[in-house]
Amino acid sequence: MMKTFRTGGVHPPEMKQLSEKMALERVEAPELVVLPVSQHIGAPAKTIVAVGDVVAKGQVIAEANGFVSVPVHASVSGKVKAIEQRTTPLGKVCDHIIIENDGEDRLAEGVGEARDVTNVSPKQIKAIVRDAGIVGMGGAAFPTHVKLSPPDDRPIDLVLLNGVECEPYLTCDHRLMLERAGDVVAGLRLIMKALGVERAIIGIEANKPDAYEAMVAATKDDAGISVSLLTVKYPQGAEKQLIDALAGREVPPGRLPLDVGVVVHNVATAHAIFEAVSKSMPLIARPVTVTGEGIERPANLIVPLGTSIRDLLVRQGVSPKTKKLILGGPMMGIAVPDPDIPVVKGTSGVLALTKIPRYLPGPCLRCGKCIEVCPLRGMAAEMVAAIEAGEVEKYEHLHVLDCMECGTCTFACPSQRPIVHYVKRAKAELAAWKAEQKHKEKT
Amino acid sequence: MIPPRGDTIFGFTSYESRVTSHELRVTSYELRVTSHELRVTDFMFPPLLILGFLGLLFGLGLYVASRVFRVHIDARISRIEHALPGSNCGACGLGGCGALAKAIVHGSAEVTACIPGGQSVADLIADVMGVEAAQTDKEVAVLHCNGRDVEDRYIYEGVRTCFAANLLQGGPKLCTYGCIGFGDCADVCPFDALHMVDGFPVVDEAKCTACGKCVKACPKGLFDLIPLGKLVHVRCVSRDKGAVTRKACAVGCIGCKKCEKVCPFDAVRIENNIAIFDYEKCTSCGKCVKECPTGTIINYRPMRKKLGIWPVKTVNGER
Repeated sequence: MMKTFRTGGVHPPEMKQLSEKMALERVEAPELVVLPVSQHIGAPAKTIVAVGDVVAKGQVIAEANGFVSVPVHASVSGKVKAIEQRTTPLGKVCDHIIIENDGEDRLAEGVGEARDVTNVSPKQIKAIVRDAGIVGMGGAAFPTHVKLSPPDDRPIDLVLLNGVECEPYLTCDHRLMLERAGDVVAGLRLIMKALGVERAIIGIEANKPDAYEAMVAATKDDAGISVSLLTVKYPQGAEKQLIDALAGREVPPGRLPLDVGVVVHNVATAHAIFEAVSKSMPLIARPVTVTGEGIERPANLIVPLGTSIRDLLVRQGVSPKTKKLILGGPMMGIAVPDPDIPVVKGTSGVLALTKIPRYLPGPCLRCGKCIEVCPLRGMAAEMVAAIEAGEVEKYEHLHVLDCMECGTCTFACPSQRPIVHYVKRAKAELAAWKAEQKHKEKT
Repeated sequence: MIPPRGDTIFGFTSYESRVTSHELRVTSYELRVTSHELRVTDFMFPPLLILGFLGLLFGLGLYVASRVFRVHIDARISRIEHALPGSNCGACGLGGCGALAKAIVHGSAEVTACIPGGQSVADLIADVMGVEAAQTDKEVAVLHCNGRDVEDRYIYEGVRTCFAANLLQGGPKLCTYGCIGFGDCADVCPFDALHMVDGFPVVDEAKCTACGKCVKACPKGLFDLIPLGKLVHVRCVSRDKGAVTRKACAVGCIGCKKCEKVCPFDAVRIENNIAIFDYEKCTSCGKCVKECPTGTIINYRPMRKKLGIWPVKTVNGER
């Protein structure tokens, strides 16, 4: 019997048929790239170039600012045209470095140099990963080197490679596993080496049998790595759910996977790590699925970071019927009002949807569907009741902070209530409230 | 011999029941005879003694408790509580009027701490405390946005509060600095002084007590508490460049600097494409109002005169 996580989950229409047969395609670099210095979770990188500077492809243009931070590299060669303060789709205001492509494709010093993968030490791997600016590419964009450096008191015995891609529509991880199975597995071996772990499991959902075959073929000489086929269920690609499905371990609320001896990495991250270690190539391009009913030619693209979403839409043809643009998948992605925003390290997909659910939120029916489907056994109905009443002091007790905003509750709600949006609001309110409490204590 | 009562009354014929009632009468007579033979003192003393003793004991206990655990309540607290408005709005930063009364008596709050109460309440409290209340300027909440007709840049379908909408790229309005219009401010106003009129908040200055709840509630920070005597205000906070603001809103500040140039008191300056008033210097002369090409700067004088809240009347007839 195929494995899956134990609690909750839903089955949204997969819609992967639109783009799953499209081979990965490299997108030519655009004339302008816009690179925000904050593309990851953690402190924004510090801009180290000035307007007018000539930069080479792969050159560091903003350096890491602290441990939980990564540098940003130029994705094209050219001249820094402007450095502007803009708001990222996630609402962070930070420097955006705009580079005019000179079309020469000049590589910075040391970038692209081949390195012997078998001959690097764990310490070297961590340093390379940090300097290459690699972050978790499943969407959360957490700096990868931090996950490769667990504290000494938390022994890690298992690495999970996340090839689940449970978000509907998205297929770029699928194509990556299919077309570059060897590279992905080599990346996984580097992760295992960096962590000193002998055992790894690659998790793939059953709707990608070809990717499963490819990964099995690529790992058949390796006794430490096994590939596991999982029952299709959303949100299986969520870190804690994947750990439950593959290792049968449950991460307690408020704790991290490393508390149960597990580290989870995405297949695209493993691929980026391999590129960084074997070819000294920093993270300057990433696979992006451009799909949805509003796209004329859905595709899986390898896009230089900083390319405008508009360029991708024009390249693949966008129908005038498009009503909604989403960065990422339809369940957890964020809708954007404006296509003039760049592809960043965490952008796994661009969706153009023609049909959008009209939300006319009704009152809570007390049906309990949201509680039934919540993978974290969250009391969504109770949470929302508290949030609507503005009872900030109850939020933490109701585990608002543990919610990963996977959207199963909103998907399942027959009353079409924007539950996840309530929770997002609650998190912001809670942060403000805590700051106020702290301030009060001081005075 | 008393017959068992239950057996004799229920389930018998009328004749039998008559017999029974006769028997009962006999019984009660017999009882009466018995009670004559008994003396009250035979059975009244022990309970009286026990109850009396217990009463004394508990009374003593209560007395001791009232002495040992006595809570000293300052009479001034209740007097101040009576003077306060009692709306528990929290504008003073404390839990409510009761908490403020305590704080004032304990010296951790000023006698003027009740903002909604204004000068009259401050004077009453000062009287209780035996001090002189400092003269406070009555303030009102001023909304620094006038963009009623700003269009949406996307269809917002989320939770219908400004706070939640603001999390999504700063809300659905074309101007990301201005009013979102879901009325978080009107929802929190405890004095019914803020209303949404056609999706835009309007301050009822006659009712506004400057409690500051709207200032806290607005995610865009569009409200400010400004003394009632200051009559000229910039109704915009957009830091966008002039052209961008102009496109989004007909009454937004475009940073043209005309106000800055015309001001005889050096009270206006343009910073980050927005006119900012220095209310210390501003005399509400209204020159900038006439000069402003977009009508962003507004003179509140006529409106306040009409409402009869300005000029402020004080006891001495002075302002």
